[in-house]
Amino acid sequence: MSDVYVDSVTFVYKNTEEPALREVSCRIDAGSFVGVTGPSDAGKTTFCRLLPGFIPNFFGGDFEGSVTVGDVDTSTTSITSLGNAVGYVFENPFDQLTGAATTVLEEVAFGLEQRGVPSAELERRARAELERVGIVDLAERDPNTLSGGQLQRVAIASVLALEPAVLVLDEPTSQLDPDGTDAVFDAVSRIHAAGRTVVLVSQDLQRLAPRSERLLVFEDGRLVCDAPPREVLDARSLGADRSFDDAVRVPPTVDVGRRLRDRGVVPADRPLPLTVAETVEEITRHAEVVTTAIPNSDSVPDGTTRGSSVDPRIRIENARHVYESGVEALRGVTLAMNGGCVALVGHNGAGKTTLAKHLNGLLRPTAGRVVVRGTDTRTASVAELSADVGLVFQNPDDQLFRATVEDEIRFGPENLDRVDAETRVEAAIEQLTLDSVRESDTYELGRAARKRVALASVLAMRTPVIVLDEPTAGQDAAGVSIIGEAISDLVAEGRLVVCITHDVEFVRAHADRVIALSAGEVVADGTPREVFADEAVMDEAGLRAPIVTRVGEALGLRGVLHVDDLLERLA
Amino acid sequence: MNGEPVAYHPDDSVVHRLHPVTKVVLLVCCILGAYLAPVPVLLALLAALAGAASLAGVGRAVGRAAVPILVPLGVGLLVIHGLFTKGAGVALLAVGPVTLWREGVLYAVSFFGVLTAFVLAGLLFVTTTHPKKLMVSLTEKGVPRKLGYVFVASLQLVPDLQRRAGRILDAQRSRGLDTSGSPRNRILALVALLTPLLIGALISTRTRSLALEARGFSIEGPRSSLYSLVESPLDHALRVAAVLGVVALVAWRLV
Repeated sequence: MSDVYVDSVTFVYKNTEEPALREVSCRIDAGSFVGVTGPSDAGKTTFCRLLPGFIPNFFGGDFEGSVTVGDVDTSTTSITSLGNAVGYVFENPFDQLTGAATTVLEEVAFGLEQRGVPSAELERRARAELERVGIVDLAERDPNTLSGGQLQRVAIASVLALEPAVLVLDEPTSQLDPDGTDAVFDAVSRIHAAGRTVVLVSQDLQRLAPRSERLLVFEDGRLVCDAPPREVLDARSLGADRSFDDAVRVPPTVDVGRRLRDRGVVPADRPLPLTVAETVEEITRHAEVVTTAIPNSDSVPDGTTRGSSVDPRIRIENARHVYESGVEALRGVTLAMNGGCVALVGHNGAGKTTLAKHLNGLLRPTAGRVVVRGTDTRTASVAELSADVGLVFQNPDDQLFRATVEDEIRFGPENLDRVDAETRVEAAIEQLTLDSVRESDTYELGRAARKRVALASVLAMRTPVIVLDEPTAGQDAAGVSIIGEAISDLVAEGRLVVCITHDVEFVRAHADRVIALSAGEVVADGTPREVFADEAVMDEAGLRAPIVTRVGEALGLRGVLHVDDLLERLA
Repeated sequence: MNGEPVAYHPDDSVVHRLHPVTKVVLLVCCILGAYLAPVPVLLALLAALAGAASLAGVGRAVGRAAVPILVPLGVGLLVIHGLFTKGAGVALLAVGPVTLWREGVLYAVSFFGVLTAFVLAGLLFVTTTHPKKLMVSLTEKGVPRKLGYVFVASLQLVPDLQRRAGRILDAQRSRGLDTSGSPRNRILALVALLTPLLIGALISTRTRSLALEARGFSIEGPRSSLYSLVESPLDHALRVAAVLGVVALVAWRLV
């Protein structure tokens, strides 16, 4: 087994001035599970690239210090040789595949073929790795037909086939839905249980913290904390003047745990809960639950309509959409939307993106109709409808193309021929806190910041309706907060914001209305409290309720949406 | 985007089972043969290709892919040669000032036959040849391994780029980009489409090259393969027959 030693590493990428890593030292014991977290662009990916020797062997720059895996110095060993000791799984599930395999089995066997493993053994070993990550039934499938979660497990099996002692995963779930994310975390847990060392980068501390023996927190290129997760998340153990709440997305169970301690419900010296089960256990141990009904005082805001308002901004009447392939993605959807923040939820393939593309005319209904501010989308071009509906897609790299951030944001208002384009650009830059990077090349920014640039470029169009596809995916704590505030501002200005998202915690905090889709049909439409309390709907939509709602349900309380709902019912 | 690009159709027909090198030889000989052959032999070749496509169960896929290529080609040939290749000056049809020349039509039809053979042979090859097995067999015959990889990877790159281009176009139109109208609009649309496409392709390539390197693509030493390819007597017979056929056609042309 191989311990990993990182000793005083400082690294500056070629053509940049600021170090991506500064004096980083740590030891990763063989067989341990180490979580890595911190804000975007803090050095997490750069740290991971040290372990398989990508730095300094592939990414050039000024490298100081040393990294050893077992007794191998990574700076003097080829990436190929290190591939036998350290397996690396990238963030993007598609780009890391060979691009030359027609089946999943071929993809997983690729590395073994390069090493001349006897043909008789190839298939057996490849299938064994697929079994380990739970997708052996996909062995004969074309990789191009798999979901992101399935592809990411193919990638894990492909590197595991080389039997590395250390598995490094760089934000492997940031582009996946909840099912895919759970499947990848479960597969990684099994791999760790079988004795391998795991180093996993994620912003998702609700899933990462319970599995990790240690959390490494990076900020501005420095390793600022290396401790067990409960210590990292407990300000008291770090000293009164230090908290990482601004650097990490605090898991909701920890948030609930802190409030329970602040209220004196749970003793302050008890370790913080990292899972729903731990939270429920400490509440039942230390408090009495009063199971009175929680009044449903929430309502969709004024102007948000469900069906029959006189003149809503968006009216969808019995819309069906059948793709050329014959897939019926929408099956008679009827909705009206006028204002507030509306969350569109549902599992992959439920029809969310198809529905969103109907709102600005990218798709036209096969039957029924969609009316946007009085205009039937069948009678207007996308360019015309873009003055009414701005749509931001999930992947920012599918749209950014101009030299600087400022110029990119100007693209939308320019297309609309707005005379006040500069005022709009300035407002969008301020709204998404992009002032410090306004002159930067967009592709020099991290993905999370690029996503905010894409969002700003649409906000600058100042459309009455804004549709956002997975706005919080891959964002750090600060990014989620900035986007949340921007959405609140838009709603306060009276605009309609439609969010397609799997992030139920974000929905809980920001949405006024939740529309759940399944198999192209609306299966629920109501306030977050109503929809999240309906277990049948949540199952059908492939979602898990927010943590505090699940804690409430485990205690016999239905409709818990906020920690205060819970605290009020504890004696 | 015009539907899905033509791709390998997995099956176990006798055509699918042929050794990939045999299919490369047959493809090359079909192209040379169609070019050299007299009309009766060309017709026999076309019938053989159609029969092989049917036998392999890819007749419909080949037909669907061939029609959009061949119909415009056929119409173009007929118009250009029928109206402008006067030859001996025998008119087939005259309507006002427009005359359809007999010799031109005959030339267009025979050239169309040759092009049809090219297209059918190519499509039959692509739909029945397993890309990975092709790469393995070419490597075994001495083709550099990296060249084989580039060939197979490029087959998958086309549909990937098509999907990405569709997404980029959607995203830019959602920001008010007008893809119709004036030449200026169209050039702007092209820049807004191609820049993210190229940058995205470069980023993907960098990740992929790193992943390939880590999985041992550049490692020295012997390789193994999931697939063991066998050359049957049928393979040998077909290769010899195809080469002899081309030699015979060359001889016929020369005498």
